[in-house]
Amino acid sequence: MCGLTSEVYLLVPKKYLSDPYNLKTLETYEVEGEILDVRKVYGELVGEEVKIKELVGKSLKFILSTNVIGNYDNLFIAEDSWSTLRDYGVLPGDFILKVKLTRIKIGEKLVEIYSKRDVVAR
Amino acid sequence: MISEEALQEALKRKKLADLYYDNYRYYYSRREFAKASEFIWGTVNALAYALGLLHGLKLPDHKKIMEFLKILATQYEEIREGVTAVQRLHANYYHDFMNEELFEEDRVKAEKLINKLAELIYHHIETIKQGK
Repeated sequence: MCGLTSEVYLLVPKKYLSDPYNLKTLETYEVEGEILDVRKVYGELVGEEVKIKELVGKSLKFILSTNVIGNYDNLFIAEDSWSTLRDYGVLPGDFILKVKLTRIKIGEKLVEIYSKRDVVAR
Repeated sequence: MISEEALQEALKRKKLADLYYDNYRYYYSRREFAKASEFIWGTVNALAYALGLLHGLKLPDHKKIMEFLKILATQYEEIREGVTAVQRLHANYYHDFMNEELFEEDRVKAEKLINKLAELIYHHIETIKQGK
């Protein structure tokens, strides 16, 4: 796996990234993105938790690992980006992270992801 | 060399395995271990069937699937370590006897077996595509 990754990952449907961008199976790719929203799985942010909203707009780095089975790939949060989330106490299972993926490195080229309009994966 | 018909059937089974695998992850995330076990077994079954076709074999029943996996187990460590685990998971679907610890132990081995089968299929199909 290229780069340092955390153990934390998001699932990305292949139909929105690896298929249209012709990514190879069983490879890893560096991806850049930004945080659009952070919500709790249950309930509203209260007290100190409201500070979590400071994360909105921050850049994140990921490592996409293209899986050989299933219709999803694993988008690992890169180690240095993970420390940003961890410091705000955004822990897996407790929060929902909404991100916009902006660029992906394919070979030596940095490619804009959906450069003409936002495509929302559901 | 395999027939176009067998190749298409193998691709269809691989797609089915992808769907079953997604379902397994869904039920696993909900901690529904018996349902997750069912879909792990479904994934293994569909992948073994597809790989069998790519080797010119038809594996019509559970017994044939297991025989094929045991042959593969002599060549690949991931499959050797996963065969018993997927058999137990198959039984767990019917009898729901596993607690989280038991399920987790077998699930990890099953994941490795599934990934190995899917990798073998992927490389086999890539080779066929390059030969065309």
